[in-house]
Amino acid sequence: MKKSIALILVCTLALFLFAACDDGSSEAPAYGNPSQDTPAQDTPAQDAPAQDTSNFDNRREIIVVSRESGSGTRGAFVELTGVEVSADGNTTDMTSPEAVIGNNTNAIMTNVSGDLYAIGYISTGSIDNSIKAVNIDGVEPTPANILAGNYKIARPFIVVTMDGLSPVAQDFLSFIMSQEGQEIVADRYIPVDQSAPAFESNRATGTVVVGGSTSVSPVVERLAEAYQEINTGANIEVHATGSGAGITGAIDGVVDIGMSSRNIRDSEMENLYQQITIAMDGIAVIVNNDNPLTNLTMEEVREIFTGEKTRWSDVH
Amino acid sequence: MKKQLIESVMKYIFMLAATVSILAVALICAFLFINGVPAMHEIGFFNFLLGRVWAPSDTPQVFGIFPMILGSIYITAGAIIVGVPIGVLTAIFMAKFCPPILYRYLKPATQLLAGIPSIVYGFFGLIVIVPMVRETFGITFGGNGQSIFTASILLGIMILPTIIGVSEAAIRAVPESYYEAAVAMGASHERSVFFVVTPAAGSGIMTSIILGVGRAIGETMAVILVAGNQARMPTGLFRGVRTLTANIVMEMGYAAELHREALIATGVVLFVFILIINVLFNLMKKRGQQL
Amino acid sequence: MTNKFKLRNVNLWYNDFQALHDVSMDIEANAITAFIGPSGCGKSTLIKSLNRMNDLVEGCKITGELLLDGEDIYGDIDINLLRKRVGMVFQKPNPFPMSIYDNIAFGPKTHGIKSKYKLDDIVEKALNDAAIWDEVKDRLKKSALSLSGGQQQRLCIARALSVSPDVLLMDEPTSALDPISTSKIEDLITELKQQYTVVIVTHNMQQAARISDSTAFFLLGEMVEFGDSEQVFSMPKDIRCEDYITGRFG
Repeated sequence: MKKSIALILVCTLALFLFAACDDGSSEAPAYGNPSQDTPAQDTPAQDAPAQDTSNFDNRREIIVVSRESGSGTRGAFVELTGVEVSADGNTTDMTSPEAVIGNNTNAIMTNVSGDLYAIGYISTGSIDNSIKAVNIDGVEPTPANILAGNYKIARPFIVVTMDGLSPVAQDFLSFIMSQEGQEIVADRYIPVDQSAPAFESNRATGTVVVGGSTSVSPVVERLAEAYQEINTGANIEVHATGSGAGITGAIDGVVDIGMSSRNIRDSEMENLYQQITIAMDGIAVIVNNDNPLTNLTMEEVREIFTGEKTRWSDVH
Repeated sequence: MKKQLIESVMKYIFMLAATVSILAVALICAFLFINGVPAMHEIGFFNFLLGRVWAPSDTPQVFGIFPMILGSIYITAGAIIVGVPIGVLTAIFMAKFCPPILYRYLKPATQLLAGIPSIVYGFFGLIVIVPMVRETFGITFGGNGQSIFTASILLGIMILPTIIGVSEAAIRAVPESYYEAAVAMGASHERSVFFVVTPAAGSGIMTSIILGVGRAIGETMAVILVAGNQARMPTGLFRGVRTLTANIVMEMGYAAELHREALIATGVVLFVFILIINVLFNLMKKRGQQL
Repeated sequence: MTNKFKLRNVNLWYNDFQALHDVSMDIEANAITAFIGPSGCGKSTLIKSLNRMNDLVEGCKITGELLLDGEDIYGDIDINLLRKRVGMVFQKPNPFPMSIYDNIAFGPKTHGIKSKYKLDDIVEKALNDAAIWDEVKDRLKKSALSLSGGQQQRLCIARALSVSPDVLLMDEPTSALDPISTSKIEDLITELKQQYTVVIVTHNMQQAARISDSTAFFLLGEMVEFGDSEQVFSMPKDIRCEDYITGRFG
């Protein structure tokens, strides 16, 4: 008798627990967009997905999402937006201490697409329909705007090597800077050489190890794919390990070609043989698709990412 | 004569195997300490261990890991608070109350929990627990769901198989005579189990908790996805923190020179923590054997 | 000479094996009754039926009448209260891994006594009754496992006495102890019969002859002979009992 009462009580308790769980999911689904027939895009400017901004509560706090401390994307972003301040030879990254840290592009996008009140930054080349890029000072982050210098948050993609490159590595570099190579770059980024010559391979064989920035590696992978189709005897390995690792890897000889998404420091250049800018990339400020925000001034960007502005109501 | 030779050869092969194991541990220790301790010295032991600011990208670089030490401690404590009551009570249930039919499914299920990779736990936490915490507590307490609270729940679940497995074995190992003596005095089954058998298994249960602590403190991949990773002093239960392990993983790829050595030094601190836990574990075992 | 226990036609099976065949006997109050017999004869089984410890064994079935003070102990009865009235001391001393005080206090606490003063009194009385108070009164908070074997067994007796039972069942209580401890406990048992009814299972015939008032001899689950200990040991009626006592088999 006592046992049955105890059992009934425990079951009731358990039921209460489960009832509390499935609540308030009238919001937009956590990840990805519900109804998307997204055709392939030629330009990186996003297709405006079906939005539902009605649930957005301005009183909620802004969830800042940032990259980790050594990321090239973060380094470039904080420098270009003024989040990093310099004084008397000291530089301090003033990114809000409350900023959630994700350690690669995907983590940032997952965080922002899953949280209605999040804001983050990624390379413009990585933009897809799961998130929305905002305009900066009224300028849309399109390749044309980046190349024209109108979109202010932009950085170079640079490859670095030591002296004495193998013929096949040299060939790959030539490919990247050729007309075909720059066309591939132009797909998502901004090519640096509009009048590059057509490519002629030296048919060298062998393996080329490329390593470095996670932002640069997608386009280098596409370049490698296209190159290997032309020169079938070559094998290009691309590793996304981060700008810092790419540069030190090139210096240490761990990789043949290093990729960086930030400017090369003088101290690093002392140990390297050459650096080549292969593309320009913009950094887009991204928000959740159901966030009504469409534009921010550079000053607002700085204020949000340093934590000076904390609620969405503070942003116009 | 030949037999003698074979015996000697085998003896040396075993010795070699043992030497390899010891060598591996020694090498890891050496690597950690040789690279880490000079870094700690250069940064300053107290600046490093008690410094509250971690800013390796600033000029000048600042390396204080106290926030991460606290982060690891808080999350481990949270995991214990979540995992130990559930784990020990489950172990008691499985050892003393569970009908055999149910046990046949329950036992493999708890063992399966142990086999799930951490990254899968991490995804589960990110996709299920984080939004739940955000929606339930986000309005009152702020934060985006990635927090000490979330990480504690996730880690608590992750250490359950360890605690359940070892605790259940300890409870089963208690001599039946204690239980019989209690029942013979007119104590009910429940009373005998809770007040006589379970305390008798005390040191075994403590062992399971210490093993759980060891697992929680070393957990990396799952924690990175749900803890927020803010490298600053913890500001609340529903705000994020960074653990020592997350610190190493997140920045090792980019780190150079002193930054990298500072991360190795973080490894040294972790190593010391684990050493302390192991010493405690051995003490517990000895006490258990004495009784 | 009242009868504490009345057994009529008791049969017991462990699954298909019949361990007790048609046992009928009366156990006298405030006296010591000994069960003797070779290994496997059913004496331990019978004594464990008296406080229903056999219920813990799977597949155990019992028929017949077992009455305690006229009440059927296998009927509609609170089994925990039964075990409070009928205490048990086991062959191997099994004090709980707690302090001496907590060992004795466990029983009273189980049955509802909460007041610290009452518990202190009960602990002291029980330890006194078990003739061990003087040896442990200064170390009540120490672990019970720090005591010697003989002391531990006396502690177990004290523990059984702490709930003020009517009956004390003792299943070979001294077989694991040295001769000196054994004799101390035998003296204790003889004292105890003034207040309690004692049933003792023993392998040691001399012990049975020394301390018991009545003795029952069991063989292969059957009670072969039962009567005054003096008579059973000097002039047994059954030839099998005589053979066992004289050591022709054992």
